[in-house]
Amino acid sequence: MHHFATDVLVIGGGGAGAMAAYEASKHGVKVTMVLKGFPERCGITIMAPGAIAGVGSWHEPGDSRDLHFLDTVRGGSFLNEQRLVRILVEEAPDLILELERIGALWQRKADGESYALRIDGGHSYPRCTFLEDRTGREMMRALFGEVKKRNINILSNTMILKLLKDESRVTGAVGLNLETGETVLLRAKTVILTCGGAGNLYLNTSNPTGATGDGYALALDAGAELMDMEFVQFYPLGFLFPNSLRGNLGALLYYVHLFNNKGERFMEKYDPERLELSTRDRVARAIYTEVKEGRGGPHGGVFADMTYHEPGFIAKMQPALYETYQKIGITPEKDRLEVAPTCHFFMGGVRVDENWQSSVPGLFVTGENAAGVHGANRLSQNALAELLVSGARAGKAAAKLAAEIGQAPVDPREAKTATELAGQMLSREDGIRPVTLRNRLRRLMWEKVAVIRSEASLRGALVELEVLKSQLESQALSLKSRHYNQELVEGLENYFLATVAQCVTKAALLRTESRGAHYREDYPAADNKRWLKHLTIRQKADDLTVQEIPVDLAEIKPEGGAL
Amino acid sequence: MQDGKVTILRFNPEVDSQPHYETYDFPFVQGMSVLDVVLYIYENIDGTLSFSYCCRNSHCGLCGAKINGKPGLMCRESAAREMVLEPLDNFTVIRDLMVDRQEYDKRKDSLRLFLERGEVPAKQPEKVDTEDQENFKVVSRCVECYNCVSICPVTRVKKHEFLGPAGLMQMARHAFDPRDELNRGVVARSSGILNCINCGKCNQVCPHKIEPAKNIKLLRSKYFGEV
Repeated sequence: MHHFATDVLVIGGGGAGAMAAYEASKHGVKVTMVLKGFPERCGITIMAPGAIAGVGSWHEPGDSRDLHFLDTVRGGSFLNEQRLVRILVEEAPDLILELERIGALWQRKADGESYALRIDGGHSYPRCTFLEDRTGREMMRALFGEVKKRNINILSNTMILKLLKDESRVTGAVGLNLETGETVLLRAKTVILTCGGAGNLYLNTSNPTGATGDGYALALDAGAELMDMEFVQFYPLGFLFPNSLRGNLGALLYYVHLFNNKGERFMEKYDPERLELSTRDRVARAIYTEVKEGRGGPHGGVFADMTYHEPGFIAKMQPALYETYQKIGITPEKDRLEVAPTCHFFMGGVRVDENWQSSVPGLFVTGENAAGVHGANRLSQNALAELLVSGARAGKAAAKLAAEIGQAPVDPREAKTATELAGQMLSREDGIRPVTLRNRLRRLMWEKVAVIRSEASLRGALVELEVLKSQLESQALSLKSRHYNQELVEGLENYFLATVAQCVTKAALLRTESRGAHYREDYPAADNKRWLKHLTIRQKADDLTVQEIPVDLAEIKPEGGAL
Repeated sequence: MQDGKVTILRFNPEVDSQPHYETYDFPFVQGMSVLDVVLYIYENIDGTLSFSYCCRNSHCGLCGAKINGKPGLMCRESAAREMVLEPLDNFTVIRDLMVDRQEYDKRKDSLRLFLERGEVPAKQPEKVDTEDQENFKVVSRCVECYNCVSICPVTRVKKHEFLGPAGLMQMARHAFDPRDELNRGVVARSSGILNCINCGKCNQVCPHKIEPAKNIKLLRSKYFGEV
């Protein structure tokens, strides 16, 4: 067993983790990052093509932070925690500049000085800085430059399996070194959990393979509360072919007309005024309905048509995507691309306070792993802003707390128990392969707990999830090696995914209304009288208990038909 | 759907004394990617097949392999009806198509890959020379897939004297940053930049069209006055 001690332990290697580690290191404490993959090669941030929302000195006339606040809360159907949104809009602009101070460079207008700004659905003004179509990668470069400069310790290829606690607070974590197969016992004064979302819960996802909800399940197990887990965002236009590209973002809504297999431009039925420019949730539901009712294409999607543009337009507006089209044999000037909704983002996560600290003392949670900022639906470009703000807040608070307290002892026997699972899986001769179980889970969630839900579909899913959960105990591997065993990782991740699946399904069943990304065909309207509330989930023994808590409406209330 | 055939160089150092080729059948569909093929084999034929991948769309740089003799990202390359897949050259093989990229990742630690600058500008956002920013942007597209390293003939013979094209592209990002104040020529020299023979092989295998050879030339003219 490998023992390791640090002041602040950051679990996760995406942008929110790097930001938290960077900030914490400014406060004179020892910081360690532990990553499931390799630095700058794992996490979801490296895939982010978008931009960072923030109203700074560069804003357009008429724009303001109040307006960014309003856009965000309206976009979230008033289920956002408003004090967190206020922090987001007030603190994101300076962090956008701070990233430039440490090496990022945002796209500028012709004068070489003012930022080029993007606008996307839900924002009132162009207010989002970017670099080409790889803003996330640029953020990672700048942040990891600082991580190296500051000699922040990185344990890569190490998967965390359990958080450790004494009676009063978090005391560290147990992991498995995926290179050596060795158990790693990490003692820490404070822990920042930042494992991203769980897109791999669904058949189609834009997320990388490692996004398996580890952080949700770890926090739940440690006694923290999850909140808003029923709100899962589906981007309407994901690739369906080739298979490995399945779910990756395939086209942009404002450049396509959508057709079903009867040649009908079906959005005319669902939103005759805005058509494809309707909101993401509506378009996703329309596509899902067309396919379900037998009007889909051969791969289970609908057809995105871009042939009406003048030649050269698509190549100019989406250079990276255009290259992908060519690779897969699509000429957007004459062919139609088959697309379907794809799991893109989890609005829910761990419930946190203004320092992004959970209800477990010393356990902080940042980025997509946390809940509260986005409410029932996330506005585009707010995710990258959130990772900066939450990372900076949590990094600072976790470092300050760590400086005040001592290291608590941990029991090495706990570490042994946590990694026993891996040993059992490796030695089991016959059973179900993790990839088989994973595919079943993803299909089940896609069919019953995705874009359109009902009491019947959700109850059915809960029953099937129980069965899948029991099959976790009979997972067996083809490859018996302890070194770099992807199959072993998949098997362990399946435990996390199954827990998250239950949380999403339970909360979705209880919320008898439709709001933001959560749509119940048996309760198709929003119900502000009954449901201006969060659902929180806690684990008690082996049971998940759900509670209703009020929403923070400190600044604005949903009067005036804003929903 | 047609019959496809793929031959893969297999090697598991825990049990095999040497590498050997194995051939698998797969259902070939026009337009499918090489990653589709290895995933099909992993899921349906042989669960012990080892390879790396993460993002599925050329951002993580992990799924590089030699496809019919040419390095490429498996997620990015279309499959052929008949293919040979081998691990990247110039790397230690961990198992099958999985190689140890860390031996190159670690070499970056001494390169000071961060912005070196004394003072924060008085006004933000600051004015930046847009022409300089162009080169900075291009080299910043590198995802360190190391396709270029695997095909580089200089790396093959001078692994320890030459950092390789990918590492030099990481350095170039800072060398081309109009705000950076460090003279990176010293590190460029000690990284063996003068060993590059400008054969241009790396230009042909970069999935993000960075043209490492061209940028190495730019670095050499910036620091050593070469034309």
